[in-house]
Amino acid sequence: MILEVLKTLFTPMNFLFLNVGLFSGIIVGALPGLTGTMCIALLLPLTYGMNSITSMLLLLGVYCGGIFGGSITAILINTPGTPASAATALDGYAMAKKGQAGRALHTALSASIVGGLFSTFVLLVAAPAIASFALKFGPVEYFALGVFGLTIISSVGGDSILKGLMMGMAGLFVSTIGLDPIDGIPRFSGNITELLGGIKIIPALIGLFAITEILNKGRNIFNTSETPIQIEGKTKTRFIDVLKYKMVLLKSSILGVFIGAVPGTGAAIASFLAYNEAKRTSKTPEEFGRGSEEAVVASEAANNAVTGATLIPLLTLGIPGDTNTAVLIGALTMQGIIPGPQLFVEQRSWVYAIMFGLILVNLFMYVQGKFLIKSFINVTKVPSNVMIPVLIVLCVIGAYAVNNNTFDALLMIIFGIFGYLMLKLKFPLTPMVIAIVLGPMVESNMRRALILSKGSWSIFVTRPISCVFLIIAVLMLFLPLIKKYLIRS
Amino acid sequence: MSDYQKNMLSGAIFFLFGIVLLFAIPFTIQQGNLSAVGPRAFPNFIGYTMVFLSGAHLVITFISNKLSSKKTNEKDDVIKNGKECSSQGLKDEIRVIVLGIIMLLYVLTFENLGFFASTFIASTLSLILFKVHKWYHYLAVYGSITLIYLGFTKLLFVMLP
Repeated sequence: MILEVLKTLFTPMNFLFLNVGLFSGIIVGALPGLTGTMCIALLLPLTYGMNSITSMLLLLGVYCGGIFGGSITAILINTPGTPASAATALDGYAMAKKGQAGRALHTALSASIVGGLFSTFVLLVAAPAIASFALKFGPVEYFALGVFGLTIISSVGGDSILKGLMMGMAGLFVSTIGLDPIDGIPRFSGNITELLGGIKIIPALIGLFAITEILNKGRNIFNTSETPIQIEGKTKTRFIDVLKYKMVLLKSSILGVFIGAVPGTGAAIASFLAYNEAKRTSKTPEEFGRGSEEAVVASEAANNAVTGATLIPLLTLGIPGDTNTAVLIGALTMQGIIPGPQLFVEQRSWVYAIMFGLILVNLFMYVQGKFLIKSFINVTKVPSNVMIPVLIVLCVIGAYAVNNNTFDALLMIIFGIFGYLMLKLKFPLTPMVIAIVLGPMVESNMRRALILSKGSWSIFVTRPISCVFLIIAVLMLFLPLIKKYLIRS
Repeated sequence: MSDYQKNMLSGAIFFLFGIVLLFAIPFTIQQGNLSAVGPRAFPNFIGYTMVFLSGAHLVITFISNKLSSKKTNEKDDVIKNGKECSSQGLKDEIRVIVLGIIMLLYVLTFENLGFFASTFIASTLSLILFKVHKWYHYLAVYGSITLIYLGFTKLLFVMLP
């Protein structure tokens, strides 16, 4: 099987698009206000004509590159390109001000590679085991799993659990539009023929992530005027130099993997936790915040260790762990691939090709980062007001090309405006996106389970796996109250 | 708009949406016969949950505002800062509205005018909106659009109008 996997993986097209993805991801990640998620959504239309492995490698390249790219501006202008790099800015920028910008960037790159590779190995070991366990799941367990995923993302994601849940409900509502999955009766489609097939996930994703970000960027376009600190001379940092922080690397990578595997958490939380842990155990904690290399290593290893870990629930259970993997599910659906435990039985070599592909993504990220870092910095100097019209064109083509009609493009704009308004009202968008993805799975499995139980709802609590998922989901809902109680006591 | 107003407004919108949804379900969705739980069940669940959650959101916002209303000094500071920022904020929001209208017009004319005409018009309007004055920036955008068109139609075989 290994030979088959390698044969599928090592093709010129795969290498080309993997690098295109990495390059685009690093650049977009480095642009403050634009995230890797937006770049994944923008590049989705490129994947329509590709085979599924090439398209996944392209998008995984964007995903990993986006997280590393965020640290470039975090280090050079103290503005994290993505929330995942906020912890890196604390010490990376301080290093840059001391004239060590190049050293900080290369340290961030090397630590990112270690974190990324570590999480890929965990993915390779853990995913098949979880998938074989998940093969026992029926409609009851899948319903509970869907509820668990929705609840945890709503409760962990934003500052208000109620806002997260309301957005989750809005997403579930969107998922009910069109023919219902069991009886085939139209719901909320009015007399619009295009809505009978339901709202396509791609226009919704591009609208909520890309158009929302474009509108936001358009709002703040005259409010940013930072000039990057230049990298002077040749930097002589080697990969081996970061290995002197081996314990920090190991602990941060483990933290990143653990947090990444839990749906709804994400790289930003991982990097701050790793930063705090590194500071707590450091021999020189007073250096943290003043340009500590150890701090950069901790936050970068942790945020990149999230990448492989978020693929664990995605590939084994079909549950997206964060917004990036929600967009990846959209890409997989377009290719006719349904993520879940059956994937490990029916398309074993495909899954392994993706997992080994992630190793290649990390290795090429090192190569690109090492040799093209100055080019990335130059590209990020392109003014946003020139970039926005091009991004709008990419979004419209992306939504239009799904069905070759403007209805989807119009829906995308509506989702974008809705997303912008919700952000203004401080509502998180992630729960809505995850609910749009998980909605059909939750509803159809709930109804199948109720057919099996002849209408008895007790089936969801009498089956042990389902019961455990539901108990955790309820606990997650009350987590803020429990936290408050613990703090008071 | 203060956080309190934002929370009350959003709560009211979601509450109203939940009520409208619950009223609309019997008129817009037929009752199915094939399964124990019909096609109305899930939308009903969404409607009731949305009403409950938004109601709770409104009550919590109202109570927490009452409790914190004693701290009037803090409130005054917020109002002062708000006035200073409001003029710039309004300009920024108008720019977003115009950008949204440009995007809508772009999509609506995409098929009728064809890719090139609609795209060049929308891009030029966006560049003017963002006060781009240098001619080579316009050229860069038009060049990128042409490359995108060629990439999608010739390499990826995506049909564009």
